[in-house]
Amino acid sequence: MILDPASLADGERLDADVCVIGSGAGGAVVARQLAEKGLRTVVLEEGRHNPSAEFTQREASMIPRLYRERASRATADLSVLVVQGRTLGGSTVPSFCLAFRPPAAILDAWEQRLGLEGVGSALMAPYFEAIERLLGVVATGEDELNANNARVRQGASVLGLRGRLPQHSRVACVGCGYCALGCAYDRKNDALTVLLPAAERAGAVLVPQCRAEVIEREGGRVAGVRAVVGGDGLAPSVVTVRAKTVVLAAGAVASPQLWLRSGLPDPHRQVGRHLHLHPQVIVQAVFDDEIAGWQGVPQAFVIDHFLRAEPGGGGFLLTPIFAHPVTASALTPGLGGPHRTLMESYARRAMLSVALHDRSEGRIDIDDQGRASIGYDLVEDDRADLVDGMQRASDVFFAAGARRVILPYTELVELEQPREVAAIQRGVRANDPLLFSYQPHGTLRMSATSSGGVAAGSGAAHEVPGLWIADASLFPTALGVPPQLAVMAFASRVASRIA
Amino acid sequence: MRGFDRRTFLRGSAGGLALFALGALLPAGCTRYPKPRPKLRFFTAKEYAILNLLAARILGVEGLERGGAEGGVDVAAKLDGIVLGWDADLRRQLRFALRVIEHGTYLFDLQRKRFTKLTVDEQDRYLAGWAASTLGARRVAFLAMKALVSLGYYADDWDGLGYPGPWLGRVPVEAR
Repeated sequence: MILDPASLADGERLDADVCVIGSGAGGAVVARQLAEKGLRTVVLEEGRHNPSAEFTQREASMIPRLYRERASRATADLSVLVVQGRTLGGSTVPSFCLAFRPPAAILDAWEQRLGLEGVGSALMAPYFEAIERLLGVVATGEDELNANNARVRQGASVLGLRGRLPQHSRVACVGCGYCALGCAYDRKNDALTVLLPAAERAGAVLVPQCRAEVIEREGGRVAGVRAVVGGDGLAPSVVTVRAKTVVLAAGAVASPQLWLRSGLPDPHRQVGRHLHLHPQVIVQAVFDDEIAGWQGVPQAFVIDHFLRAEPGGGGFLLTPIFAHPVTASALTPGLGGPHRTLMESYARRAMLSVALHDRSEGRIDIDDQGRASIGYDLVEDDRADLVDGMQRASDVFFAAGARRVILPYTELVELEQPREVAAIQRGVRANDPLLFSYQPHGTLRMSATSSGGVAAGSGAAHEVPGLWIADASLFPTALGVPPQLAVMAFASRVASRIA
Repeated sequence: MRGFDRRTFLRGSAGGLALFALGALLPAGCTRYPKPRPKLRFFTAKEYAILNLLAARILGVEGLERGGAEGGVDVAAKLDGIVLGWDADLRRQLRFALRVIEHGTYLFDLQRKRFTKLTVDEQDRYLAGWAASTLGARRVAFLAMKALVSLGYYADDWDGLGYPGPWLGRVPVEAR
């Protein structure tokens, strides 16, 4: 059942076998699996319950409802906008449903080089297969490529770049293009539509608008969670969930934040470290004919030619993307007449994201009020890849017949022919271009020993008996690809270790 | 970027702190701003005038500086309702930012007039200076203002874009 947060009185106590913090890709998988095994499972979610019937397909109303801090949380130096979901179902709700398995070389390196037994590609395969079956993961159909994706595919083909139609978890997609604002038609198989309803049917209790404040311990072992219910006009009340098992699945920013706020042991100062963001920029192009990128599946083709699929990171993915008018206007460089002229070319515009497989590592800290601070700086090799990625994206667009390419700098920088390298290589300075991250991971990472990470390969916290990690925090290196499917597969493995 | 709301909007860097401090020193209550037509719940007449002018100059849409006059879109009035939902700290930072933009002309451009009193060409040059500033916090402040006025204008007004708007209420879709 989904508990009405208003029904919880101040000081109320819930008893459970397991308390899961977070209802996104990791938490929803764990909740379903443990509830189906008969464990009394309570799921705490900071965001509201936003049923699809309330999705409006409008940016002004949906962004504040679905995204943390209205999608405007940034790193401490304001150079990377870190966008995460905050709603029942977490980031799966406004996601583009891409279902990538991590490169086998990365999983195998985790097992062989880092000593994490059982996480290699062969032994993880059954977990991936089970999640893919559950979510009905399929390859994108040829008929699902909109003009934006088709142009990118055409450019890749002309240049001889490796690309493919990725797998995704939509079913009978109607092609409205509003994935990032939540699917009003329930055509996405995600935490909100599949996993949490299954958990509910198995008896799990879901508590929206409930922010975990402290993980409580007794005698060194986890004893439960103290949380605050409230927000959106609801007066705050403190509730406690008593549980001998707590699963931390609040995401790679909030999970270490909660760890630190709870004062849990961190003898090797590993908590919050090794943050990867997969930072990305968006290169745009104007074509002579209509693109209408707002319609259809936004990300239906991916160029993985430049991705270095190995644990050291490096390289980048090129993936078409599109934005509705408010976001598109904010992304459009320049100001005044040139900005308006570009907005008037909105229907003829294509967009391509350059997402780095980052070598850079940041960290999560908290301030004296317990608020998270995200520290992250691009290392030189990543900066070089960023410039190279912008160049490659420009090449793809010109090969597909683009009239002009627009670079993601604050000022308007347009290319009218290929290989205007100087304009791109003018360098990347602080906050310019502005980077985005939709995929933070790696802040409570798995390690064979407590000196190298926070969790064992099973997901159990090294230093806190009864505490498990089941979100993107677990990953010991950057993945290079969108991590949602990997989060789900690893969460499933964690749940299987709990019970 | 999706909207404008970062908690650390101006205070996230050394340059941002400097801007923030500057905002605290600048005049808060200049007179001679026209009385807004709509009844405002958050913005002052001064902030209303600055925001609508920013919308006009950044978005390049003629007439936005006059608010909803002549049937046009009143960006500041729309944002007035949205900003009410923000937390107090963020609203305070927005106030500071608007003040810095209005009076930063004296510092950044050595002008003897505030932003809303500059000529159109001067306003464009002044804002281009924010967009191209070597001070990262100034560029971010410019981006934040662009995101804000984009929200106030393009959330509902798609004239000239070729964008048909949401499917809901327009395209029938069978239930799953």
